[in-house]
Amino acid sequence: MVFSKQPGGQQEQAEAEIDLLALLKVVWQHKWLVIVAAVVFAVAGFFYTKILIEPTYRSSFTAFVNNRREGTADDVNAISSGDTNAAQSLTYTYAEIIKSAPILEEAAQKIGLEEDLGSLRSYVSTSIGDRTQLVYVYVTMNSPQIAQAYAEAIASIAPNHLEEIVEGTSMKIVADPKVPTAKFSPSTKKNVLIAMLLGIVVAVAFIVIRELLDTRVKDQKELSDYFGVPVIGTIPNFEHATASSYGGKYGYGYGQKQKSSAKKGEK
Amino acid sequence: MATKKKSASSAAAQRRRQRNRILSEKSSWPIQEAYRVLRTNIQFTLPGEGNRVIGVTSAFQHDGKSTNSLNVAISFGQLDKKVLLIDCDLRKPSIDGMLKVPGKPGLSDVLAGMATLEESLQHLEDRKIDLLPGGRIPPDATMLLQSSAMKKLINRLKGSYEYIIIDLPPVTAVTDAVILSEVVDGYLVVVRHKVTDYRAVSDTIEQLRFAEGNILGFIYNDYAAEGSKYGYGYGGYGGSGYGYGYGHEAKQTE
Repeated sequence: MVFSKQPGGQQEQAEAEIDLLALLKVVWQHKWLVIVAAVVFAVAGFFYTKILIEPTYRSSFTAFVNNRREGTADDVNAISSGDTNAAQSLTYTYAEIIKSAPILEEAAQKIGLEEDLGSLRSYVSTSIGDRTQLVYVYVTMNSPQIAQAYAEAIASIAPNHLEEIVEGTSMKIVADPKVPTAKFSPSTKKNVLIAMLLGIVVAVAFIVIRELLDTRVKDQKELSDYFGVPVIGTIPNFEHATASSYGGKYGYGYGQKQKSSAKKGEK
Repeated sequence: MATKKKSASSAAAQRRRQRNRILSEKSSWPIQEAYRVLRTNIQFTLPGEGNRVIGVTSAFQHDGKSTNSLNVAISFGQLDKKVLLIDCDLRKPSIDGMLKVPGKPGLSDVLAGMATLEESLQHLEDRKIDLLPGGRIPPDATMLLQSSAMKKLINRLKGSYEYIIIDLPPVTAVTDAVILSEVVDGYLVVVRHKVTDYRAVSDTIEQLRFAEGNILGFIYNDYAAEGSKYGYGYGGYGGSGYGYGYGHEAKQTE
């Protein structure tokens, strides 16, 4: 137990101080458990990711939002900051409108995708370029081809819808959606790393808790400090001691000398 | 030491292991040295002068109390002192088994008036100690130990021996150990490395202090250094909580 107490201690059931350094030492002593746990969790994470999680693919396009219809007469050559600001708030509006039911459903119909609105909604997400008039639209699905097709469908019908809803604006596609070559999620590496860290945390927690709960006597100094009673004799474990009887490791070479003189002293 | 597989023999093997733990000149040097140091420390911490009654107890069974009582007695015997070892664990006397000597008549018989002291005392020439074994297991050990007969017996024995080592039952098991606090000059509490629980030790110390017993110190039993098969950590501790170094104590015992 990592107890420590003031010397000459009284018999209160006092709270024990938890010696952090001693705890770390114990964790280090059990480092093999931590390593094994890390490996086991990592392997489990790997298989879980590979086998149980279906990969998804993301196709995306970028749209530029303008608060002026293409080719109108007024102020064609000047872009004022007021215009820009208005366009930026418009961008947020557009992002929401793109995710609305009419657009999603029409685009789905266009490519023959038969899924309910809830699913369609779950595939599409947007983000806004910071302080820009750019909307990024992401379509994330299980099949790369369908993801691209759906993204393309949305890109083709969204500008018209938006121009009808918000008059005096236009939307242009900046980047077309492509068929993704690599999967979007899950990331095997990331999951394995997370699993490994989780394994380490679990192992360390287990070691620490077990150590804190272990109230056996394990250290002489701790024992005598705790009770204020000296340890006046230490008897080594018999098996260990006899394994190296008359061992030169003991007593710094004192052993040999003592042995012979002891024999003389004791009849 | 071959270990047989039958369960009946494993008990025999355990007894054999127990006997191998008895201190003697054939014991390994670390063991001998450990008891030399312990003996010296006991001599130095016993209060005052005169005859010495040392009570050996522990928190729980199997902490190594009886073995250590025996070995402490033998260690004093090695100094050619007159030593008596009394097995006071009347409910579970074990010293006679370790030494392979008759267990009765013994203390309980003497206290009950069913045997004389002379009949019950055994002189063990090879160990250089006298032994008063536990005797027949009595129905009420506490009553016997509490009786005036016990006190009279101890006082009588003090006249004949320089050291009386008493193997007491574990304190948390029964109150026998505490009952004798009047006659015991000093208590040794045996604690076993990585086995004894702090709470049990705490109860033990508390009871002994409550009875105003004089605690000489702990015997830290069964110590093995971490990660060291050959226990060289023992050398580092010097087996002594008092810091009586090897060099110093060697002079004392020679």
